[in-house]
Amino acid sequence: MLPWILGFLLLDAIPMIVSFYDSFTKFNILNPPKWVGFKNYIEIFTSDPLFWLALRNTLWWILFSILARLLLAITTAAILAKNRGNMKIFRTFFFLPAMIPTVAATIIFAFILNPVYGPINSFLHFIGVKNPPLWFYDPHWSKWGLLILSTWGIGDSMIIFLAGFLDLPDQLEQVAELDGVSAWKRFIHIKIPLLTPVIFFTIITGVFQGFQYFTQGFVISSESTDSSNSMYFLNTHIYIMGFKYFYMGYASALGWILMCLTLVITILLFKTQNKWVYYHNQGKKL
Amino acid sequence: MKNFLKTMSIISLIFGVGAPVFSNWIQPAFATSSVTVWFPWSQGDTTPFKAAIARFEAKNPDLRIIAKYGITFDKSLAAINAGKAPDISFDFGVDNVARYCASNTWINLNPYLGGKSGFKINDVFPRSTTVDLTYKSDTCALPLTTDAFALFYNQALFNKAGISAAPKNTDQLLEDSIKLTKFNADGSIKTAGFVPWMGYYCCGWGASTVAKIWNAKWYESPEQTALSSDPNWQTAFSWIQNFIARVYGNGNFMKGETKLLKFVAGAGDEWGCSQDLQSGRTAMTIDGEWRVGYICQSDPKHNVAALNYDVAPFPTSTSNSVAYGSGLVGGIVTGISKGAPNPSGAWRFLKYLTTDTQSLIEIANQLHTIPSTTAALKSKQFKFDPHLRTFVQIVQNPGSGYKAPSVIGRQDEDLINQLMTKLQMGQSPNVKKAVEDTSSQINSAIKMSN
Amino acid sequence: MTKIVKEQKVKERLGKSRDKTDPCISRKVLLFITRHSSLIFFSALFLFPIYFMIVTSLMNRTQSLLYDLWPRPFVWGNYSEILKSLPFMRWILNSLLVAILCSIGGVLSSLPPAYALSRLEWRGRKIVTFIVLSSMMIPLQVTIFPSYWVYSHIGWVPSLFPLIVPFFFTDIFSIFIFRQFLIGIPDQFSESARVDGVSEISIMLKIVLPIIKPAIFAVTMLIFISSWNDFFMPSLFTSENPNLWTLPVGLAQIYGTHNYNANLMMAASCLFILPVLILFFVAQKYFIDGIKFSVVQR
Repeated sequence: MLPWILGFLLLDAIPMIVSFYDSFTKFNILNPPKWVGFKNYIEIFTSDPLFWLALRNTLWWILFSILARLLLAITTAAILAKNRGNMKIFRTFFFLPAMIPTVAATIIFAFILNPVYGPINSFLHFIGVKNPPLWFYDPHWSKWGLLILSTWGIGDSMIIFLAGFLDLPDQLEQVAELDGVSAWKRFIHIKIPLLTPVIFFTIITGVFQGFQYFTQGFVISSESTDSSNSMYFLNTHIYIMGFKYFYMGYASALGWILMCLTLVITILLFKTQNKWVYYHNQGKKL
Repeated sequence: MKNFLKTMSIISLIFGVGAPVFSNWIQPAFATSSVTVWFPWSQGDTTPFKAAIARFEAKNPDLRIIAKYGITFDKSLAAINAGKAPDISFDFGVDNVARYCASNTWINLNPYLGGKSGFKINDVFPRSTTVDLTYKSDTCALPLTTDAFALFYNQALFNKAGISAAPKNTDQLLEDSIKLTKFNADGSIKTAGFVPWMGYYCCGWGASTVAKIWNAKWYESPEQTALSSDPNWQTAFSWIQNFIARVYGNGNFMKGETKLLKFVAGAGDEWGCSQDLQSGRTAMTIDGEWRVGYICQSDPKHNVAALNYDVAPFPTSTSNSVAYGSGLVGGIVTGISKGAPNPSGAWRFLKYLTTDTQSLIEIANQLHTIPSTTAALKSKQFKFDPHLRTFVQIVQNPGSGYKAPSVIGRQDEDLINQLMTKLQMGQSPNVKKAVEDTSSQINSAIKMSN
Repeated sequence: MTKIVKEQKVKERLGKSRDKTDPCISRKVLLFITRHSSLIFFSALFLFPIYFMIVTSLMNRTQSLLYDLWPRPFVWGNYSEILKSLPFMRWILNSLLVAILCSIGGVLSSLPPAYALSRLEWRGRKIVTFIVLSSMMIPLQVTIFPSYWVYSHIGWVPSLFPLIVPFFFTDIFSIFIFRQFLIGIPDQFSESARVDGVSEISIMLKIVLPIIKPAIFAVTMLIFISSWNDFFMPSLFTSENPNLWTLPVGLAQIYGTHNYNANLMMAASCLFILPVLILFFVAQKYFIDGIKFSVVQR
């Protein structure tokens, strides 16, 4: 355990501490930092309309991306967990999109979801939809487009659920099957509860990743004509403030606020753990 | 457990101690007569730079240039910040130069400009390319090549509509657009005359373009923006609303806006052969000189027809006192880093690269842009596509430039762009208030960065 | 019910179900068809963008920027152009080196802490868990500049060390995944072994490890992929030395400032995902197929 703690301190904690210090300074990369106390934090809450916009967008994103992710990952993993030969191929198919580097995947989707020339809208026209959404070019639809992109890359959650399904102890299920419980009921009342640790994990990491969502939104907004900030997330704000305008002190403060938000939600989720997450050893939850 | 600990500590030791030794062994030792240059370009774009370096080293056998390619400027910035800077680096655009000067990220070049091997900036460069490179009389960057923006128009469509010459002022722009715009049977836009839409393609329409056309002032004083005080901004915004309403919406702004939103979403890829100007979907666009390099030859297999087009300077507003013919200009800049290991050597190479006519012409041709010295622009060696002649004139026009430099870099422009987006989407019916809000945002940004 | 009686009942019922006739079988067939057709349908949806990617990689530049779905003509030359003009092998080697080391290091160094955090009792466990978790919550953009400063002063810039070494000091994400799986394993396994006097490490290696093989597979794949796809970190730490570039950093050179070659970009991306694909297929066989369903080992 000790080398681990040392390494963690050196490589992770130091940058964290430095950025914490930075958040109280006025630091613009080009000059050495200058201490300004809580000014950055006050600024963020009182005179930064973009912060609140970014917060709204990010919260929307977290909610919907976690929902979509859970639904799809559990469904696909459930089906693919049987250890028959041809399932291997299907598993690869569903996992494939997750292997594509983020930027390339985003650009592909920008092409595909193009409102006029893209195949998706052409297909929608074909089946008779009069005014298919303008996707990334329309502020009302752009986040849904991003959501589709994110669910397409669901492979990584899927393999975790796959591992989860494969690890399920069989006795309970076999007994239930023989007792005549239907497959659907077995799924809902036995498998899912046993999977709650994995579900919990997916939700927590969904919260982490949701708060830090940046790359895809950024690449798309530079590819599309929608410049109305519908894809402006908290991390986008940090990036622009820090790397575009060089306000590293301000960006650090934003980063720490982001972390506190994440922490708060995580703690809340951990507290509710007792109520719905089932661990085999009931006495040792945390 | 003990064994595990042992192995882990040994590994950490190897990494901790071995790494610096190992990496120093990899890095070449630094001779005092060498200059490190980090170029952002890669692949074929590096050819003219390599040629320039070869020529320079031949003339200056005591200096060795260590060139690294494919390194974008943010990494140079990180290195400067960490104290391990390259001697010379390049940035795209003049937005942040004032900040580099103020913070000494790029050192003050005045001592070198005034020294033995120095020169007078205005003798070498047209004013438009250097007007933004000085902060409080300290010059910390030199231009390498320059971009310029102008009005591209489809000559064939002009002939069809009976328009004899490119519009010279905004009134003519409006009238010509009405003549050139055609609608489909269902009411959607088939051909657009001109698209004053924030976000339509990358760089042609935005706060800086608008400011140039309407001669709107950026700052009353270094701390105070002129957005709400200079009436030219308001004139510009109202003109845009009026334009969209009359050309696309039959007098109704929201109708025009909806149609235009749909039209803009169907724009052809900016860098391909289905780009709207190329395909004739839009008759007039404001674009940079690189567009000339991107115009495609005819390719019937892929539905690409040859384009009959020409280029003219921006139309200017009827209330604009600036003469017609100037334009938006700005480009690639370069400077010597703070903490550079060899500043005097760096100066020699910097001077060569930014003033040697042959190098500049080769670089400009490779990057589809324009050299920034008067000598290169006038040189017979500079063979360029005839369409570029307008740009060459614009760069040499004394009224051209980018925007007023400011300590907040691009932020003021971005904020005004956001304002323009809100206005064009009809999200801010109270225009005056929106302008006031943005104006105070800019002012607080300036305060914050002080 | 005792175990023995239970087993007897299982055998009885199994015997009974074998006697069932048609209704059961045809229901099974129906299930098979629906399951497979929906799988095929969804696979098609999922794979469509990849089809698009492959097809664009075979077009010439003009066509690649239109939205066609079939290359006209087929340009196989894109691939040879990339392979010839760029030091692909060097980049692949670098990427492989980094990705493999990171996966091994990550798994090796995350398991013991995860084990300690989930299956052992000790004071301060809650606090450490939270500290571990909280370091995941900070966005990368914020810590990156200080990190660069630290690394460049140790002398690790430019080099591949900043990319690999952190993984040998555990990867928080993996710790968390393993923790969740480890917590899910009932205590009886460890208890009986502890009573027998087996050391904690043996318990970890011989009993618990085999059970969570699928989780190990998942984590290895995830670390490998995120390391393989990572552009930001390698580009920051190895830009100065082209010999150290990993695949994404090298490929970014194709994009360039004035060369928007969608076809080359797609071709490069296709080549890019090949090794990962192979790894996935192979690793599946190794990790998952070997699993016995019953967790009752003894």
